[in-house]
Amino acid sequence: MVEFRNVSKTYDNGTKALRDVSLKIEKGEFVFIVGASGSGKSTFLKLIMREEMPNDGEIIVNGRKLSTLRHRDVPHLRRSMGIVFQDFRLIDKMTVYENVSFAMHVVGASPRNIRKRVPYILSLVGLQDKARCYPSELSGGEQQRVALARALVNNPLMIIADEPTGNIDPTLSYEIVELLNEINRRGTTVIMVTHEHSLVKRFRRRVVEINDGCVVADSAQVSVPAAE
Amino acid sequence: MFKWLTNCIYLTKEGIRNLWCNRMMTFASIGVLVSCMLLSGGSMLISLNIANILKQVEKNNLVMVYLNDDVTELEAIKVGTAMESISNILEKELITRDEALRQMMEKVENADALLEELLQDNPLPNSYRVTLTDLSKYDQTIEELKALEDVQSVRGESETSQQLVQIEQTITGVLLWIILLLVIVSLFIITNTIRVTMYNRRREISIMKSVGATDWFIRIPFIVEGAIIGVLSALLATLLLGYAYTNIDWGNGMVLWDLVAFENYKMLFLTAFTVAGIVFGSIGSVISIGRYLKDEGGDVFE
Repeated sequence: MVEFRNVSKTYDNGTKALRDVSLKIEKGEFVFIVGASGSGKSTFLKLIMREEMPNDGEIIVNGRKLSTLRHRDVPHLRRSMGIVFQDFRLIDKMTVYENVSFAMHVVGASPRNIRKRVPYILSLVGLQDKARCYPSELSGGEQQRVALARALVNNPLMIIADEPTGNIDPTLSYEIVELLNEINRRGTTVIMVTHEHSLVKRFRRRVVEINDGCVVADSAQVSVPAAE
Repeated sequence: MFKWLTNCIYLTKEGIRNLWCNRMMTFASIGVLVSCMLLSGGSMLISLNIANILKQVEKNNLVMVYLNDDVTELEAIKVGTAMESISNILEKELITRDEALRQMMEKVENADALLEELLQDNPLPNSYRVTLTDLSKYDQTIEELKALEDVQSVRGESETSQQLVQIEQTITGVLLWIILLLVIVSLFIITNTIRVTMYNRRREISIMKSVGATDWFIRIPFIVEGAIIGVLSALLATLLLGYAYTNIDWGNGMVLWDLVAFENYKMLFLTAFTVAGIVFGSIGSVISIGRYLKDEGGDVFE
């Protein structure tokens, strides 16, 4: 699903964000990416989304080498992934329903499909009663569930979550990860960046630790022999 | 095809809705565009009026062509035929020596007897009253007239006409520069206005990119927005300009010539404003958004 082969990334200002990272995430996996801030986690996600290009090495997503991807194919790559941000990134002037349906308009879904799919996804995250609310009228946890609904609505192959619980109080954090867990159980790959060790401990999943641009620990390599 | 159509409808709706959601910016943009249109429209009207006045003056601008004393009326008509080869002549009218004398004597009281006497031995020559088409070719035309056979002398208001042409050229030149300057200023203001809008909405753009929106999907609502602002501004500017020009007394009593009627230029202004508005609005949008689309995803991740 996602493979990094000896990937290095140095920014123009000289910051070495990733050094010689090799990593393979299989279809259907749930992976926590942990590490201190500035360790290279965000660069890792940017590279998967092809928001940045590596200086060295090769990244393969869904069987496609990102280095050969043309600019106009980038939107299609991103449609195969649902992205959840720490700060939710909802559009304030749109209702909950519109924030979710908007992602379907982007991929050119038919109005009929949208009318059917959006209520279903909203009920999946438990927000069917808040469809007409605006983001400002919701709690942090609820806003993040809207963001999750938006990420899920196009049935992506993988969910990428960048500190999704960072702005939510701890009790609600579990709820969000539980939802991600449920999504993963239905077959979607989940990559979640976090620095909350309590979550990592509670949900026993593969953990990849990045420190100073290098993968310093990978629980998959402890329990399972490393893939080629 | 169907997908394309539903997308278009959705994006147009989005554009209209953005206009309302960002209404402060919408009003500001319309204000800027309308002011620029009014200023350039005003300059255009001044220019049109000057051209119109000059046309009226030119029409009245006469050159007298006096023929040699011994030229008969028949020969004078031949000279008239020869004049037709000069392209810059709008009208010509033969004034025979007898007519000239009568016109002259009309101003003198009780001159009937004198007139009769003078008609026997008329001291005046046959002449032509000639109107020119283009005053700027005045000198050349005079030379051509002088070169004709049997022409004795040519008398015209050389200096007056030269001055008029100079005034027209100066004023038109100055106005052209003013209009050009206004176009540059308005383009600058418009791109800046759009840039501010874009800056306010870069978050929205980055969200759209993160869910996989293509560049055109992001652009179209902005273009629709720009175009609608352009059309609204054009309508408003035409109405205001027409009202100001027709209903406000600019001291008409002091003007010797008739002003051009706004009615005749209404459609011209509306069309020019609309085209300019749409072009400025939508191209401005495309240019300003280009920056945000180029760096992949802007700041999808912080």
